[in-house]
Amino acid sequence: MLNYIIRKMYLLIFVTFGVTIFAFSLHFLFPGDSLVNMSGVQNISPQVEEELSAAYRLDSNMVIQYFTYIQRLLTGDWGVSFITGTSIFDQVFNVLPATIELAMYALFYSFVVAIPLGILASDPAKPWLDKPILALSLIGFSMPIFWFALIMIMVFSINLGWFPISGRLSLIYDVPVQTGFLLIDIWLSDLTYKHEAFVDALEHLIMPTLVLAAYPTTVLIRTTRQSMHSVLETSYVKAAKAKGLSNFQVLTRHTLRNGLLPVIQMLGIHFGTLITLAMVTEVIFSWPGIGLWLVDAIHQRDYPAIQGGLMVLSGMVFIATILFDVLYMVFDPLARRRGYGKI
Amino acid sequence: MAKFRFFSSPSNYSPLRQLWRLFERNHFALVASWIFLLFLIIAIFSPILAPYSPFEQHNDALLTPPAWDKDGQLSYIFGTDGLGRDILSRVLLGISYSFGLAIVAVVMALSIGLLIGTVAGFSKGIRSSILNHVLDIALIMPSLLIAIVIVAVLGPGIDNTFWAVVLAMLPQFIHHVRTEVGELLNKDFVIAYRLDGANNWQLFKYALMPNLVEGIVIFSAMAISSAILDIVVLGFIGIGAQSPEPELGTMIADSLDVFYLSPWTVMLPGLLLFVCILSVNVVGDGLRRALKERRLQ
Amino acid sequence: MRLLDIRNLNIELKTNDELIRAVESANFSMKMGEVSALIGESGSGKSLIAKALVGVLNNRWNVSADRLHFLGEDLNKMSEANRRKIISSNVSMIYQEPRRCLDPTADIFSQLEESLPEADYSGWFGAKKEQRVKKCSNLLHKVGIKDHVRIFNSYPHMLSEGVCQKIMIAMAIAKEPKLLIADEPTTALESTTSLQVIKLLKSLNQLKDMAVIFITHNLNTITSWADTINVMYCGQLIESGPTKQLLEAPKHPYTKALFDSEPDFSKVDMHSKQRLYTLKGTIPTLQHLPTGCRLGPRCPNAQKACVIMPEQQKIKRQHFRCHYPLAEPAK
Repeated sequence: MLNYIIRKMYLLIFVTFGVTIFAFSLHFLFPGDSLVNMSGVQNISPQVEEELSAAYRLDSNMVIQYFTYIQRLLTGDWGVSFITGTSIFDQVFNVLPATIELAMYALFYSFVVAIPLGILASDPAKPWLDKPILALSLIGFSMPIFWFALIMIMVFSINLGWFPISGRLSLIYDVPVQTGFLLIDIWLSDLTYKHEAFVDALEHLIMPTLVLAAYPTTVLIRTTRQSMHSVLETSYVKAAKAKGLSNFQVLTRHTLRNGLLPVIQMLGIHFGTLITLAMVTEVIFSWPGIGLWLVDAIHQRDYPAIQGGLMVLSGMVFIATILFDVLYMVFDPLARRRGYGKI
Repeated sequence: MAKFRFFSSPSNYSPLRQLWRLFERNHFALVASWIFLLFLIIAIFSPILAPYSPFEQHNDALLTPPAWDKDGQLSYIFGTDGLGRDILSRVLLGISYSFGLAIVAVVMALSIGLLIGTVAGFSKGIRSSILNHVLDIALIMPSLLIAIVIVAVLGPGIDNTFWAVVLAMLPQFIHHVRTEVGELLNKDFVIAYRLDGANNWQLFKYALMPNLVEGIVIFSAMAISSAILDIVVLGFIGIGAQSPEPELGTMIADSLDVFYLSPWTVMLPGLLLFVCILSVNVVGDGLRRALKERRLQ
Repeated sequence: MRLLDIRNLNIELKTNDELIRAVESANFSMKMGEVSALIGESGSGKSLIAKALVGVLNNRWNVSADRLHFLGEDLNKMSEANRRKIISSNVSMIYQEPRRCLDPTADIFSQLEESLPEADYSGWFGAKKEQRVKKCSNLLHKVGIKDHVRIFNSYPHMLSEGVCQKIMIAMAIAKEPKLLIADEPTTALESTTSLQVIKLLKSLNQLKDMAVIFITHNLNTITSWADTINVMYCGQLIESGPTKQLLEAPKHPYTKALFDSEPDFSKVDMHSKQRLYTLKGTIPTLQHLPTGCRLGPRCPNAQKACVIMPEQQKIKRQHFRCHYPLAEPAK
């Protein structure tokens, strides 16, 4: 167990090293002067240039430059934006909670919907359910997310007028930021219009969540169905049935735990895709998260911002993947023994 | 009693033939494969098939509804967009951009991936271990995010998008080929080949390749759908193909401001895109299921 | 009272092309406390009969029988749930690969515990639990595992196949079944462990009066303690009868061939490089069965009538399917 965690930590260090090297190399890969890309300060005067060069140790070799860069990252000096001139670090961590919030709700929703559906589809006693659920998941899997979002907007916002088209909260409400997670913020605040704001935030949340959840839901349905199918075919499930356990007992004691293991693994693998889809969703619904912010940065060629955003996004994906892996290990005694440091 | 058949036995066919026989039984998948072929033909011959130039602006016919609408004109079957460009022509060319380019990208990634993956599969020790770690990192990164990074470095444009998609898919192909090769090399029949004195090239040609083909075909089918999605999404968020180009994602993004006024400008390209991806996915799914069934037999 | 009485059992596999009949009109009956051996080459359908009986075949298989009596009750007339209840409380099964029949993600105790019948324990929650722990450790002791605490907390992958098989037996006898089906329980084990397992089964049979169906392809393990022997070939029960009778005077040429193929170590004049007796040819696959007698093409004394399927005959408690039964050897 300890051995396993050490291996994971080693992997985490290796990954961090890889990501920072990559981010560091972006300074030189992006067009323009590398000093400008590093600091984010444009039109550098000779005097400022000298100061920055000294601060970034540009006169030394690459290795020292890299470590200076790491030091800067740790102290929160991520340079400033080309466009606004404000600190990238502050900007990134301002917009990140919105993305995490959206992704978490979508993941939660897909978990709640997909796993029962997957189990139903794999039920050998109800073979007629299998095909429709599978077809539905294949359709959901093939739907380009932005097109799906546009259809949702057309139906629910324009024709029916149920939900707002874009944004996270109506402009009439002003909620003080504490955690960055809007629903929690509203909950914690002591505003007079707390209830109305909460309902409004929920209304804004529903469509983006549904749109974003489409992909993970379909993936989870398919994974659950497939793994449940294979678990139902194993000898130990048959042996358990022969022992005289009821179908429900077999499900809760053996099938579910074994069947959900690949689902956890799949969640880990697809978390990255979920984050990129969250970016697209944000663009469509003008959701003020890191995706919208990053796409804007790319449009405006705001290189320090692009670099910071990418680093945070990939870091988030890596950490989530490793977390899912640890979770997997907790549930699977076999993985504990293997303990091989593989992501 | 079971029917006694003296001569014909399906198990005498080659694995690929068997796979096709099982695939054919799945009618959905068969229809999807026809649609797939149709799209392929459109992608190749779209400049000939398109009635107008995709860039030509018909100023007298802005935002014409599709022909089945009561205000529609037969000369513009799918209607026109905000600048009076014929949507049918744009969509046809869009297929060759989004779908055709995705296939080319997959073929490209496949050939490079096969090469590197095989070499990596044969390698041992520290080299393989380092590659393992680098691949692990590249694999966690979702392909779309890698593509976004690459486009951010190279700058927007359809050609950069293409390379970004190829590079983003490459780790998956390398990984797939490498694990398959690694597994096959441990199989007894490959060791038997080795003991018979086969060199690496002969080993690859006679022992590995025939066993790899199936897996690669299925993996590529799945890769095509994700490549299409990547290209289209990049186009849609405005960092892929740029505006006048008739790429489906870009087209949809362009028409967003007239979306409420004339929904067909968004819905028709989207519908086509959906059918396209669906057909690829159904074919891939059918192939995968056929493979599973064949392995069961 | 008969423990088990089956007439005309058919087991069919549905494939895309056709219906393959894997077991054809098998008749099988057992008395209480009897040990019955089911012998045949692999693929002859002997495991299928056992699985069909316990009801673990998936729905790609069709199982039908003219008569299916268990403990005097007609299982054919019962609902699925009732049948399962009767079977599961009276029949246990142990399998060929014990480790694959244990859930890899659950520890041994919880798996052992769930095979205990629910109703036997009373009292409040803690007391119940204590009783169950006690019962489980007793079970393990009974099958010859001493350090039950360590085993309780282990997962299947940490244990050897032999220990797993013993655990499977412990689970099987937990509800004190009337019938234990052992489906090649010793194939995956080393010879010393397999001897232990067989001894264990033997003692259970004698002490608890538990009937055993022992499925095997190895004659030596079974002839010494089975009461009856049933021989299968290509999905048919071709001969069955009391062990002694069958060993001395097999009626079916296949049975004779089977016995002859075992080297007889008791003979003094056995050559060191003697050829073992075998039939010519190989077993046909189920898709390509010959017409008439299944053994027809391979049978040393096949004749013209053998292209017609022989009906089951009975001579002195010995059932067989052959047109030309072998004569009893002269004494």
